[in-house]
Amino acid sequence: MGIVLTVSCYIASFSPSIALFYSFIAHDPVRIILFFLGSFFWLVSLLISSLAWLGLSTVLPNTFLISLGVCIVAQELSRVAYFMLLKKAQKKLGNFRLDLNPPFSRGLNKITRHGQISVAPGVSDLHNARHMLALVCGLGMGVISALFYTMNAFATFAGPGTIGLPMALETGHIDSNRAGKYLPLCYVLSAILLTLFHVAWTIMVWDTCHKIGRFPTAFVPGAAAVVSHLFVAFLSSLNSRGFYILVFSVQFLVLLICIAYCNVIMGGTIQSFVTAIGQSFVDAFTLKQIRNFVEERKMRTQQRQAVPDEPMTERGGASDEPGTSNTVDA
Amino acid sequence: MVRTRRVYSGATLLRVLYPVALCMIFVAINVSICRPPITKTPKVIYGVFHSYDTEESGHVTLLLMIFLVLTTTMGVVCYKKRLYKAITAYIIANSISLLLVYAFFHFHNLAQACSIPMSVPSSVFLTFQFGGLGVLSLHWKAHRRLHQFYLVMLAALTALFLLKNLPDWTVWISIVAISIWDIVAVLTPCGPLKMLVETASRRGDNNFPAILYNSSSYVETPETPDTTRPHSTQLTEFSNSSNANLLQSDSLLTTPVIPRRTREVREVEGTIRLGMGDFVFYSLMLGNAAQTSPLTTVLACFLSNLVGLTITLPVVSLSQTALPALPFPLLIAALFYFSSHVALTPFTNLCSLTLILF
Repeated sequence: MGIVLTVSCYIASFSPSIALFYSFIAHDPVRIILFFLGSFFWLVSLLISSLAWLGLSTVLPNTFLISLGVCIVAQELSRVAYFMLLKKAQKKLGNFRLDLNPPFSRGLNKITRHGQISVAPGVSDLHNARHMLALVCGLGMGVISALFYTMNAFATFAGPGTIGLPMALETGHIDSNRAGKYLPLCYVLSAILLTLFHVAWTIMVWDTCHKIGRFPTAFVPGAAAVVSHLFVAFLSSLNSRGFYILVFSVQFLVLLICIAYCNVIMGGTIQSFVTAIGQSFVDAFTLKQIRNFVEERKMRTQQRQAVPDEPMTERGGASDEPGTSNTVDA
Repeated sequence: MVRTRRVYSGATLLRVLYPVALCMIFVAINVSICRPPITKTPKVIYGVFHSYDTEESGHVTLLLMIFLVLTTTMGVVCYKKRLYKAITAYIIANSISLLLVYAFFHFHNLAQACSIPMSVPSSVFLTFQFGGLGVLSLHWKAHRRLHQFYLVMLAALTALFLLKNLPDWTVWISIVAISIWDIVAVLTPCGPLKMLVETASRRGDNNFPAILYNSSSYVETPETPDTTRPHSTQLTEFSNSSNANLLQSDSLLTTPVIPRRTREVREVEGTIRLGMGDFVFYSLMLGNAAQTSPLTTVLACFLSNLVGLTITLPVVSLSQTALPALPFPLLIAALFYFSSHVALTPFTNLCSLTLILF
């Protein structure tokens, strides 16, 4: 039961992130790198806040809630720091658009391909894609925070023992205030919440950072993100008193509100949001995704057979220019 | 006239990151499966930073460093005097001993740890298959992926060998020592690696001798498909775009003339080469973390290695010189490792044990 429980917990907690990763990030190398950088920024913020906890706990007696607040503030600051880093990188990229600009105006950037277009429609180069970038960064932060939250617990699930058994054996009845056998479920739900929350918070905070110079009322999304983060974190401290169902329901409700708010930020309305949810349920029911996939494969094979000479065949022979070598050593 | 510009795209970076990540994961999995038996020097974990045989650690590290410096210098001397056969013989001997002899012992350990009964003839046969194919693919011809797989295996087996046989804190001392050696060897004017790079570029020798001057085999790995498949990743991306100004090409294809441009500029995908020693020491660090720390620390070190490499490689490609890729990622990873024992893991455990979201 051990290793199966662990594997199923991992699958259940990370399937939203895997779905988001696969549809938006996996096809684009630059986004994968930005994803890892997002994880790293979150790690750095956790490092700073845990060092602050260590320092505070030598001075004050009961520092847990304060250090939790410090941790949350540090995470939001690292989000802002990542935004500023990307902004600086974009400045060095130059203000290029899809259709023109010779490549030498791209400045110091040699990392992204010019004119690289990704599959998601309307979202291409770094300049035009701030919500997609926010999604990538948020997903990076969410995945790493969910991993840090659950990895140790899931590793313990793989070992011997039954969850919730000793207390029930001792007292003779099942205490409803303890998670008991629902503990893995609590961890899984927390992991899902963390992932999706970070995505939503990143979109909100970056929207604030983007517009803060121009509109004075632009602080609303960022403030909403910080407030909801604090609210959710301090609400979850009720978990240890046993009100699991209440806490998780409220947290999921807050998540839904945050996602709707992000949708509004990205240009939709509440009406379109509700319609989109309904449409996605219908699509899932009618297996539209699978049908699209099959049709796409069919069309692609037809296209490939229609082209007589393949530009992608293997070519022998080395690129023999002795003067300019393409290789750089590290 | 056609100018050629070298670009390093994100895909190139990823093609270097994937083997490093795979090597590290392989070593971490192997190390966590075959936990060494409790020896007379127990590995002390959580916050107690003294070791039982620190002096021995110092001696072993000194020996290791002397061996490394000696083989590097001899390799460079042989290269300068054009004694290529000596280098090739050394490299072949090294890979044979790793892929055949040490692989046998390592798989023996693995089988013991997983309680798989293996008879001696079958294990000899399997090791011979594995090692023979490895030596063939490294020193003769093979499919590119097989070659890369065996390079990764070489580095992984070296790291596993070091992890099994080094006493307690030697891993950390040797990581510090080799970072310093890396900086010295690559950047200072009298460093052997710098001399090697200069000599090779002066001779116009595009391919270095395959594996070089180090007990852990500094292999130059051509990480990108430079000759056989012309940059198919870039091509598939461009097939969707109608506005692409530059199509990927190699030297045998002529660039189609783009209507709005008067001058053709070819962009050629640059290749980045990473030495095998870097693979070995990243994996060594991660294996040590896997042996002594909970899983979250391992993840933090893994991620910091990758991010350090991500930061170093564009700097290398922008400055077009050889830079040491070892000290910076290891520095960040060491920072995370030590602070994780002291601060990160207790704080995270405090939050996650009581189901408080942070």
